[in-house]
Parts: sequence; structure tokens; C-alpha cells
Amino acid sequence: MKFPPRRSAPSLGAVLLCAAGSAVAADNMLTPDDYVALQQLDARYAFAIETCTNKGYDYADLYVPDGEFGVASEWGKPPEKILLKGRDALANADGGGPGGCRDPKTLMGYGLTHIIADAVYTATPDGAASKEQLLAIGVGGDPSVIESQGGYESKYVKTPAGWRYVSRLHVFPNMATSVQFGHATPSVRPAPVVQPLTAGEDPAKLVPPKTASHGSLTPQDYMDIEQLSARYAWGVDHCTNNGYDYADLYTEDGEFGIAPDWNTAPKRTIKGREALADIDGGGPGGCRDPKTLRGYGITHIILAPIISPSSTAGTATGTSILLALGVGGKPNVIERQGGYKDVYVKTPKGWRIKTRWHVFPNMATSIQFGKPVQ
Amino acid sequence: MKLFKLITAGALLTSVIAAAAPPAKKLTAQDYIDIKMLSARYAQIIEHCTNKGYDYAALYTPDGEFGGTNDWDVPPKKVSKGPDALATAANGGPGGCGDPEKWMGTGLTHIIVNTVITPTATGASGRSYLVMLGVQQDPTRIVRLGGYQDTYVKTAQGWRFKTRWLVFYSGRSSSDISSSAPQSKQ
Repeated sequence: MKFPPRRSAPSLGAVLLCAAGSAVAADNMLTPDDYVALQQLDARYAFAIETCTNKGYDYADLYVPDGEFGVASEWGKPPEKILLKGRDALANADGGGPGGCRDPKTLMGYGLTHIIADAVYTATPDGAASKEQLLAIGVGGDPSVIESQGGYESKYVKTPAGWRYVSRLHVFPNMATSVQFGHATPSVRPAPVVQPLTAGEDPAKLVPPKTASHGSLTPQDYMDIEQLSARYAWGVDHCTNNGYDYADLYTEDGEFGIAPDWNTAPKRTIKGREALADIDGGGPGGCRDPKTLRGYGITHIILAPIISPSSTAGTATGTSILLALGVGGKPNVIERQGGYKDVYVKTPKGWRIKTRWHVFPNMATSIQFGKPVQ
Repeated sequence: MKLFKLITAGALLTSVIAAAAPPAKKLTAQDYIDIKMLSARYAQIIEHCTNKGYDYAALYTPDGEFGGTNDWDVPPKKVSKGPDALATAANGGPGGCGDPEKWMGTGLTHIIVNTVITPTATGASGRSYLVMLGVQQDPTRIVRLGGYQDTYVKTAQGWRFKTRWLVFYSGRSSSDISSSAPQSKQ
């Protein structure tokens, strides 16, 4: 089964570079209220697309009246075809329309759960744009089979009723090999291995705060840090700008390391711009063959970020959960890879990662990074 | 005529109720951030019996409750209510943490996504997807278990769950996460 490499698509690189470049100048144009509203619109999308509520018009009304939905095979490229335009067409695609809801079993997306993650939002002259990962569970009629279905590239506009989609493209490079839509056979899951408990969680980072105070952090700070982590997921999966897009998510003296548990620092860290670009598969000499990298084929899904103010103004800490899809060269196999424990610093260029520890208690039994199961 | 009076009375009653219903409060961006982070803490804390499960219980109001139900908007028949019951539900309680090997939540990762938050007169409500990784003792097996239907209240300590209901996906139950994995069809 052919699976498109995740780290070598030049068109994706181009779009990421473009997004990263424009983000620096334009991010401040989106307020925290805007970010929240855009996130909520995307969350509502997931609910609406799977349920024909209000005859599909709840879904259609997430768009402007002449909004469009299309499918593209490459990131950053226009769709081959706009499949849907206008309220009735969108409601119809959701299984509804003026005549009411059809039998859901007759729809192509029947049985799917949409996980929309790693959303990066950027301001545009007309409103906003985003790119997001899409994972689908329940593909091929098996409720436990998951696959990446590319993601979304969207354009939004702020209307009197709130933010709405002007266009939403489902970028689906692997559609032909999709279990759901390409009718491919899912990859075989390896035999289960015993995973150690993720004990040793740092209680100080998890316990709900005793007061409602946010220290020196503003809503904008929370959103900027959340976006920083979302950009990390895209940066680490693709060697764009020779890996320097990834490296530039850190401070100049920023560090990455792998820790065995939540309370132990890594024995060895990767520090500084050149070293960080290198572990992303890049560096001064350009990007190496992605197939030679240990993380080849993985989609990083970073979830449940908890961001906390620290006692020093302009710094913050965070923890999150890390899932990896496509481990062991098998596009339908997913595993938990612990999580991240971070320190962030506010620089003149915005929030950056000072340290990111990949807390990976189950590394030894990881399908991607552990020793092969005998 | 009698029917007309009844309809009129009904309409009047409806309008009175509508007029009496307090308006939803406006949520700030910080409120949305805090509520999403409350749910993130839930996902991270539930895996670890920290502080005998009382860190988990502290995500709720003192009279907060958790329960499972089969349908959205239908309250659970049975709930865990109050700090001791909630800590017990998280494998802890007054007697300390139970053996993690015997707890049904061991080895699971809670994936809570697509959270929609709505302001209400008393605080906020929310709906999310709940996807479980590591079900049936297989760390790579993933299923949509259902979702969460929540009510939140802003306390002096910040936002807390007043109620969290696990709404099982059609045909799913808690046995889906703990029973042995079926032979893979793959």
C-alpha cells in the first residue's frame, strides 16, 4: 500500500513557508475573541458534518451563503473542482436538504468520527485562514480503524453573525489509498505489547489552580502559545525551509530532549538553531531523505494543552498529550507517545519554546522507536 | 372556544416562561480558554491517581457530579457526586489509590476534541467528542466511545465542572474499553 511521504512534499513546504512568513506580520490582527470564535466554528463543523441536524442546514450555515467546499490533492493548490456551493448544496452534502435527511448509511462518510487537530490560524487581508489535520476513526466500517485523511485549508470571513467559512478545502493527498474512500485494506496492527504506566506525572502542573488568577498571562498569550504548539506539529512533520521553520519555534538557546518520565530531565538535549534544524532532517545542507529519519511517516497530534503562568513575567510552562499516527510504517496504526513538558518565553518575535521535553515513558515499547517485538 | 382559550393560555404561559428565563451571560475569550483547559486537565489527570484522586475531584464543584448516559440531554440514572465519590471514580478515594492494574482506566488515553462551548445563564455548557486510545488492552486500538456533555460554573477558584456526563456513542458501553480485543479483521 503506497502512502505518501509526510516530509517531502514541496508544495506543502511552500504553503507552510508562506503561512509561517505571513503569520509573523499578521498574527496580531486576530484577537483572542477571533481565535476562540474560529476554534468554535471548527468544533461545530465536526459535530455538524456527522449529524444531519436541522436537515443539514446547521452544517450549511457554518458557511457564508455562497460558501464553497472542495477537495484538493495537494496542500497549497487550488481544488481540482469545487464540489459544493451555496446553502442547499452544502446541506445536501451533509445528507440533508429541502427534502429532509436521507438514510445515513447511504452517505460516503457513514460511520466516521472526525478528529480535527493542530489548527494553525493566520490573519489575511479578508479575514483569516487555517490549516488543520484530519484524522478519521471508523473507516472501512471498522470502528477501531483510524487513518489520516489529510486535512483542511479554510478561508474565513467575519460576518455580522460571526465568523463563517468562505471556503473549506479538504486536502486529501492519500484519497486513492484511503480505507474509507479508496477502499484500500487497512494496515495490520502489530500484536499488543505491554506499555508501562505513565506514572510520575508532575502534580504541580496538573492540579487545578487554587485561584482564578492567570498571573501575567493574557488571553492573547494563551492563544499565541497554543498556536506555537500547533505550528510545532506541522514543523516537526515536514522539513520546510531546511528545518529552520521548526528550529525557529524555539528561542536562540532553545533545547529539545527526551525524558523518561515527567519529573526527570533528559540526559542529553539538542540545543540551538543548527542542531534543532538538523533533528528536523534539515540544516545548512538542505533536507535529507525523509525515509532515513526515525520519525518518518508519523503525524503528530498534540492534544489537551495545559498552559500555566510561571512566577517570572514573560515565561510560562505547559504540558500536553502526544499521539503519533502512522507508526511502524503502518498508516493506520496509532500510539500514545507520552507527551510534552515545555517552558515558553516571550521574545520580541513572540512566544517561543525555551525547552521542550518529550516525556516518553513507553519509548522502549514504542512501535516507532522501540526495539522490534520478538 | 374552549380549545382557543387553552391555546391562548398555553401561548401566554410560553411567553411568560420565555420572558422569565434569565439571559445567557457573555463569555470572554479568557473564559473559553479556561474551560478548554479545564477539560485538558481532565484528560491528563484522569490517567493518574494523584493526591488519591482528589486532584481529579477538584476539577468539579463541591457538589459536582459525573455519570454515564446513552443519549445527549438525558441525565444519567446514576452519578458519582461529591469529592469522595469522584475521587473513587478516578481509582482513589479516602482509602488511597487502588491497584492500577485492576482499574478499568489504566492504559487509556482520553482524547477530548471538537469542544463546543455555549454561554448559559448560570455559566456555560459544552459538548465534546471522546475518543479512547488503548481500549481492550491493546495500546493501538482506538474507538469513539462517545462524548461529554458538560455544565460549567465559574467559582472563586476558576471554572469547574458542575456536571460531566459521558454520553456513550450508539451501541457503546464501558465494557468496550475493558474487554479483550476481538481478533483483528485487518
